[in-house]
Amino acid sequence: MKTLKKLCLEFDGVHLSFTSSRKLFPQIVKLQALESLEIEFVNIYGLPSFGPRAFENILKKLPSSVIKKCVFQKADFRADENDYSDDRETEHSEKNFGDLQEGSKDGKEPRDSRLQVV
Amino acid sequence: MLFFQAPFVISKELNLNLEALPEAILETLNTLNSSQAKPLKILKLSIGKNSINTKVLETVCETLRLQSDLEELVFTCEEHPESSSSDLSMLLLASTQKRKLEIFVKKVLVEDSPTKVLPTSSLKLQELEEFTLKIKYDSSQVAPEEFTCLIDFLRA
Repeated sequence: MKTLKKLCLEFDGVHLSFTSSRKLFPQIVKLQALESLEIEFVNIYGLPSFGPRAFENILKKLPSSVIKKCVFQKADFRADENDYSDDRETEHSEKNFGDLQEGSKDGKEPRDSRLQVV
Repeated sequence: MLFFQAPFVISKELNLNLEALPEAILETLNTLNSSQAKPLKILKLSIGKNSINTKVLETVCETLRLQSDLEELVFTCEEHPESSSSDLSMLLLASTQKRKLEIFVKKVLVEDSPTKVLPTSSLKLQELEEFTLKIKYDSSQVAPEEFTCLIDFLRA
């Protein structure tokens, strides 16, 4: 889409995995005319390799002025996908929250300050 | 239930609740589709919990085809059962090129692609400058991940 200047995506309650990580976000980066990007994911879950850090690495290819908002709220990215049982509501625990606030598995903040995990 | 009578059509912006009485909606749309009507710049369509009346759907599609000056098109869906997916696709495909498109789905009921609301066939997107898609899934469901439709949309 050569003319798209402003893209705003907000998803609440989706599973982020291969398609989003390897296809959706790279496709966003390819939008040549993009001047403003706002992304908000709420109640999301998936494997750590498809979490905020993966998207950070892709989105940092965009000029810093383009990313107006990039928020991951109530995110749950654990190592074992089998953990995603039917009681997902209780799985969004403080512990998992805390892991992400500290920058996922390595305990560091996301390197790109434009990416916000809350 | 929001509904604007025919005189409102002289405005450049129209908000239309497609769940209102079909007769009332059709009166507004027929006025809008008449040769005397002034072109709209912004059209906001609200889709309720049920499928759109067939006659209303056909007439809205005609409106979207005729409104060639339309710059902004906004869809707001209260709930999104599978039946309304095809309705929204029809409306999107009927519309002429526009500068801004916004789709808000307040609650998706079906366990399906997060972007199924976007039609898989090609849209008239050559002039689209602003696109907003906001979707909320029913929290009781385990939501899937399938962004293929959105990826195709952005690739168009």
